[in-house]
Amino acid sequence: MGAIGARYVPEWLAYNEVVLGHGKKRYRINTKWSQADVSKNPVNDCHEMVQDSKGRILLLTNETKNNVIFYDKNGKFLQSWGTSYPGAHGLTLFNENGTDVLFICDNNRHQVIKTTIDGRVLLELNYPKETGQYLKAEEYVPTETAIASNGDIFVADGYGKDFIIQYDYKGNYIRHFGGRGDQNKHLLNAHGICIDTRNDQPVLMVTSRQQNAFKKYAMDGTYLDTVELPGAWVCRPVIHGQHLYAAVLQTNSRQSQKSGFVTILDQHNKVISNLAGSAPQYKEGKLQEMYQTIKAFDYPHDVCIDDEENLYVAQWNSGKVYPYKLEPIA
Amino acid sequence: MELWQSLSIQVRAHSLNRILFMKYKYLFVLLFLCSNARAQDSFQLAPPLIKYQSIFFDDRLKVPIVFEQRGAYITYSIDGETSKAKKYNKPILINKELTTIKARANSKDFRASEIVEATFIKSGIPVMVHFPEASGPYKRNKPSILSDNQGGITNHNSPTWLGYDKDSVSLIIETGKVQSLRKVLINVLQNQQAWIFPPSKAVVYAYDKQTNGFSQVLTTVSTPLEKNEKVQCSAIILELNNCKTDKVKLVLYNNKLPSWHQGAGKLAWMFIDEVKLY
Repeated sequence: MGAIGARYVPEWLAYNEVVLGHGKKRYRINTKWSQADVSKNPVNDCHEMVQDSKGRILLLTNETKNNVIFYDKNGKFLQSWGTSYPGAHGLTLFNENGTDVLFICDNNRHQVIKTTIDGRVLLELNYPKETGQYLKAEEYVPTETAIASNGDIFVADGYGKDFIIQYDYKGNYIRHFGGRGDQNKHLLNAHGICIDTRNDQPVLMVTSRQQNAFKKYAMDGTYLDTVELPGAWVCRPVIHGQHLYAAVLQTNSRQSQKSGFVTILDQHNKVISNLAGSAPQYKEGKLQEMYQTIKAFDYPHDVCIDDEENLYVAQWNSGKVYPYKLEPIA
Repeated sequence: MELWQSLSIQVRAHSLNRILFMKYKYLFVLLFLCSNARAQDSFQLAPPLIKYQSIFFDDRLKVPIVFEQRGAYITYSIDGETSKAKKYNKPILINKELTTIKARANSKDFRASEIVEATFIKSGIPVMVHFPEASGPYKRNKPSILSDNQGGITNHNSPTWLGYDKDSVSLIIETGKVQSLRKVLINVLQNQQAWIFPPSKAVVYAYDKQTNGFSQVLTTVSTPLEKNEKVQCSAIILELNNCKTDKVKLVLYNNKLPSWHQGAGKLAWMFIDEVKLY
């Protein structure tokens, strides 16, 4: 009888009840959140997501029919723009004197583009020859930006030479740091960056994805510390409240096998929950290797946490799926 | 049809529906519960993690398998005994020359995982392996890197690997004294997305004292070029017959990237982390 019930249950009734995560950070996953019409608003890789000051959820995709898609929190398609970002990868929202602006990193154009919320271009940052590290644009493949409260722009060259390049709000070069090497201050696949404001002094939190770590730097680029995340190819860190959230593209032990999950760290940067990943284990203060346990995701690439603590997951190279929504369990 | 007849039929149909609903309301509840069970079943577990620092060991090795997921358990088998999969409860002790562990995760709440496997390799005759300088960022300074029992890590940035983007690579393997040799084993990496393929062919040559060269071919193994998205290590084994020497040469031939690969026509990379002689 159960089999008959399972076969003939309509989709609305088969709402996914799978619970992911650990401790106080557990979520119910909804893989059918997006109501966008695939024939009108397709996606390719869903790279990053943010919420704007109007509460809308923005998705950045490298599908040039609609690079930026706006949703409401229920997944209703609202609007879209953008046809000129074939390598759309990084999306950062900054509230500039009360107005939302966006920073897009384009891998193919080797540029960072600042736009208004509705897509009008305000500024373009080309490859940073001022650093003396680059001979041509192709060497520079920016993946992410972070904007300081004074408007300074930090760009992570995560698919290029792994430098972090700092500009003022007008786009004037200030300094660069990071890059590749064998010291702690160096980076390998600096895929993401954010400004961590959870403590008195803001610091830069930078992804070193192939080293399975985040690295902390002072705002002047001085290396401070490393947060080891064994086994996890972490994408950009996302600070929300006292927690740090990050999509994990894949598991070290199962590379190229759709082995991603989502990790959540507390204010001390201790992993407290993995959504579709292993329960975090610390032995003598050392985090044990993490890995996927449930195949809920393929290659998660970014997370966005909205003003109601819902979590959205955008995925790369995952069959052109729209983002998933995860609602917290009280 | 008259109006009263129509109303009468509607009333009777309504009553029948009510009776049916009353009679089968438990069935509806059951169907609803089943729908949720179906949703839970729609996800599959990922495979468990077979944990090790290196797949190479001297005498014996304890191999833990972990899977930190509530309600799940691990089953495993050794050397292809798939029908005899056992429930895992403690690290597996191995001491044979070559041991393959296969494991899977199971749970009543989710579909069982695919099988994950790892092969562990015991030390053979002590050797010194001479190798040419590796390519690009994969150069290493450690002279014993191919005989240090460290390796089997699927991350190609691990310092245990030597990476080459050359047509061929020749390795000289010395034992220090003349003795009977049974086989040569070489551990290689496959990560096709990162352009890393196993060698197309491996050839072992015997050392000839008279000519002070390597002329005699002892054995050849060819590896078929197949599309495989898995990132994995594999051991290539070359059997030797009646070979008595203190030195052999192993030549590994590289692949050109196949037509279905994004780098079609260009030279692949070969990654090597250990050579064993038995």
